[in-house]
Amino acid sequence: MSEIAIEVKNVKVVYKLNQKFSIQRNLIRRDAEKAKVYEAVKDVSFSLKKGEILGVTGKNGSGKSTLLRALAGVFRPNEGTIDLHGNSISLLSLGIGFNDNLTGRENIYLSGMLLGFTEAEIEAKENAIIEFAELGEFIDRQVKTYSSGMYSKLAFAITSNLETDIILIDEVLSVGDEHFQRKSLARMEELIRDDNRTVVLVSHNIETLERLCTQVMWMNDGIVMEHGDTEEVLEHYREFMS
Amino acid sequence: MRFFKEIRKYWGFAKYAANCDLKAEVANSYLNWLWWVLEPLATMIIYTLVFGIAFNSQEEYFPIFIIIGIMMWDFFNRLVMSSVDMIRGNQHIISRVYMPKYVLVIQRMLVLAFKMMINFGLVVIMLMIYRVHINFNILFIIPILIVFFMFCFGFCLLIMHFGVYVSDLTKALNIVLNFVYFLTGIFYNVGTSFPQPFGYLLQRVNPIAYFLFCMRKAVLYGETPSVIMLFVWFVISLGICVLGLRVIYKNENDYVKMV
Repeated sequence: MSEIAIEVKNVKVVYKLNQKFSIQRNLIRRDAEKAKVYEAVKDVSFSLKKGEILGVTGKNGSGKSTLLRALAGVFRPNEGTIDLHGNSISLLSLGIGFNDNLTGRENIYLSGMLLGFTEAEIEAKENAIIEFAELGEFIDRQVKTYSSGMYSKLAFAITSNLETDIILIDEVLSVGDEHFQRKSLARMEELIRDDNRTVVLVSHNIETLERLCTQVMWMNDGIVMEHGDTEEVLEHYREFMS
Repeated sequence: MRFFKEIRKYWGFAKYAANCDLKAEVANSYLNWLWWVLEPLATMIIYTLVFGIAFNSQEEYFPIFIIIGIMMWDFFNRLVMSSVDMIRGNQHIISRVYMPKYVLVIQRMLVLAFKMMINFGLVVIMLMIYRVHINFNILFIIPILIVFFMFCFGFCLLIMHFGVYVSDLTKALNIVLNFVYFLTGIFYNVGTSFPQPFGYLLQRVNPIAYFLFCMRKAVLYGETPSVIMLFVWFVISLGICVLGLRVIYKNENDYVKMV
């Protein structure tokens, strides 16, 4: 179990602000502002062995979610490298993911295909997903008719049932009602216990991190403050925040 | 090449998504898929009444002449207009998982190609009603459509790219496309209506007008379109596709951060 699953070296992610312009504004006043640069992730390096569960914490705006999205391949880092050693990866995060005009069932297929599964593989998991999401007949209704709870339940059901080698989780353990929260936490632990699965979990909830993670990384202003033993790092983080 | 490898990987997705789009479009409407037939049919009737009778157009088989025009123009026009907002409109997908962004254009093209097929079905029926004599030249439909699709794909990749950065591109395009619409000859013959050599030139320099010209020649009048000119447009379209793909590959990284 010493195989490395994720290797991140000197990653930097930059957002350019004010990059948009309009034809009208540029024709009339030629003062297109120079794009400002904002470094969300400045210099992050770490490596994670297969089967480990890494918790990432830090105050708002410290670059956690940006790092996660870079890991998921949503955008490439501006500098540095991310090597997943050929592992499949999926990002589970709140509030995004579906085409509102399509039904829940169709969205299961579309999400699955984008995660690299074939139609047949998704078909095999379809019932498990629908059952887990507890949507009943809503599964064949358009997603725009869903409540926000149903929405995130479906998202969680898809990612947790279509299992990839690496799962990235962005603050989703508080999905749905209390019953579903308990169920999803149990499912999460089941997924995590699998020795072949690597997990990166972003959370502000210290209790969750303590309970689930084998190691914790604390980020602040786009750099790693500390990375190591769960209890130690969390203690320093708590001191820092108070 | 990276492009072909990715196409194979994402083809299933594009097809499934296009299928869903089509289903969603008619799911809640009363007349259902009949709308796809009624829309071009109604446009054809209106145009035939206005330009065929009121303006007394002398084109042979005028209703078919028009419906071929509508078929190609609708495909191009709708694709361009939806490409502008394509990245913003699909934010829910692209902010969660990586996909080559041109797959979105392909998905849209599949949707529009399906509607075009229905439209073409109407053309076939009309050909039979009017007992138009067709010959082997009708086979030119295939190369014409290939070049046409390539041109549309490449062009819309560029539109999609600029759509991310230019906030009022939709407004500008509305004006430009309106202009192009009238210079394309949906309801009249560009080649003979302008004084020469402008008509002749316009028919060859405006790609959509040219594709229309070829299509009508092959289907309606049983003539052979200029193979050389078609090849020229093939090379130009290929160039635009390569350019478009390069631009997308180079910049797609930033799209997510913009929207």
